[in-house]
Amino acid sequence: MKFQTLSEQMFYVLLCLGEERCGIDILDQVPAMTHGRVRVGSGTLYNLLEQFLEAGCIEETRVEGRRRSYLITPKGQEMLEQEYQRICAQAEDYRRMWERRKCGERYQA
Amino acid sequence: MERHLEEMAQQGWMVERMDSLWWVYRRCEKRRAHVAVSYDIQSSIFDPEGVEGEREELCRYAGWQLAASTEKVKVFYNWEENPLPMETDPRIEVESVHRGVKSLFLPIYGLYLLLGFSWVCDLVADLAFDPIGRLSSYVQICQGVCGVLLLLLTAIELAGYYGWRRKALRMAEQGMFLETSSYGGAQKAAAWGVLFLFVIWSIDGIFGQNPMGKITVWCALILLVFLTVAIPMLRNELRRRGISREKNRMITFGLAYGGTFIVICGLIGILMGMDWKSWNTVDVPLDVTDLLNVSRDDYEVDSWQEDTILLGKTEVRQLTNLDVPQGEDIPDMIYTVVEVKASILYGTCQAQLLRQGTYQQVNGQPWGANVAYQKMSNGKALTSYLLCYDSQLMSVTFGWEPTQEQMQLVGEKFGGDML
Repeated sequence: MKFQTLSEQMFYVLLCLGEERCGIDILDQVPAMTHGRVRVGSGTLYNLLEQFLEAGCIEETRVEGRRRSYLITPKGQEMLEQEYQRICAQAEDYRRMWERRKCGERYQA
Repeated sequence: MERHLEEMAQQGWMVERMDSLWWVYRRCEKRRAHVAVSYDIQSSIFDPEGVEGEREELCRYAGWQLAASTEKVKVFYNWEENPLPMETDPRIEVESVHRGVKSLFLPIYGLYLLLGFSWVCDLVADLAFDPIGRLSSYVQICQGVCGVLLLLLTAIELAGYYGWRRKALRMAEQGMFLETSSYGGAQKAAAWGVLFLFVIWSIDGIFGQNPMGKITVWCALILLVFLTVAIPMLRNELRRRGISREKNRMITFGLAYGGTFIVICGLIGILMGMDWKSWNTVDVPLDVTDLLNVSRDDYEVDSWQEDTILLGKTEVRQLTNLDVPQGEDIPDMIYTVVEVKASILYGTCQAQLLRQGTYQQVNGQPWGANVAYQKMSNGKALTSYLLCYDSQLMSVTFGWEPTQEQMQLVGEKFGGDML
């Protein structure tokens, strides 16, 4: 699967893996990080971790019984950075358009 | 599958085991359950029981309990009021379903399509060129119908899946999930149809006149029970004992192949060692001794009969015994009688028999036949005839030139109009 744009859940899973974490940690960390706004299903998380591993975005660092820990790779970091830049550009576009609209309204007034 | 299992849970049944032919349920409290079916291409049907992987651990942490699993398919239950679904990203779900389907179902469906297509081509070719052979045998009819069912059902499933996938991907772009559609009705009808055909085929084989059919059906039944009941039981027992995936696979496949090889070798051995004459109980409608003053002991008789509600076919070969001294006048007689029960097939069967040589129409009155044909070769008339009666067609080759009396006798035997 090609990760051209990251969905919100993909973004936060990669963000969590800036530090070495296992799957259960990610299930807790994502809602904590987003104040409950974003939650990742257990099936989605498992599939995401497999696909990120296949794509080389994360690497497995430790295996303790069933528990596997992961860490983001430079490739994953780059993907995250690109997504961050895209979100920032979107936010900036929003801010600019909104200010232009506000200026337009003040002029008319 | 999810909807069905949720309905069963509300009736107090929870799936416990999913075998290749059936699912086993156990009683549970009647309450609303959320069921999730997921595809795990890493798992194997040979994995030891009770050994959880990372997926099961994550799901259990989120409240999803693994209830049953089969080759790469796992079923989870959640008894909470509003649990977080296992799948929260539609794009990932569509992708993971596709990986599971590609890994497990597409190769099998490809095989089904190939098999169904080859059986249907076989059926069409036979209906065009050998309707007598095809429609006088329940084995052949069942195979043809199974081929049609297999091709249709597989094509419907594949078209349905790819249609769903296309739509699901479009909806996933907007962050929405798409429910899968169900072809449960078509699948059930097809399954009952195949079971019905299998029963007919088995009954015809076991109780029919054809000795090879009897043995083939028994061997097929033994193999069916062996491969679909005994082998899975062994595999599951090895899983329960915690045998590793590799060892389990080796033992199971080894026994499955070995057992199949033994049964097939046994079948070949029995067929080769059979005294076919002692099995041959076909009533010969016309015997050479009815027409000539000869002894039956001077002949080797081979007869073969097949019968369905559409057509009946009897083939008889009466050939001179090899130990009859040379010079003795003991001519052969070979014939095929086709009983046409479905009158709509009469013309087709007649055309097939006429295609077996160059025929010239002759007077059918001596034979009591509606129409008669004589085979020709290089302009010379042979002693082979095609006799067409009301509901029977007889293709016969005499080893002598038949007399008027003998022609009349043949006509009387096959119900011809002798007036």
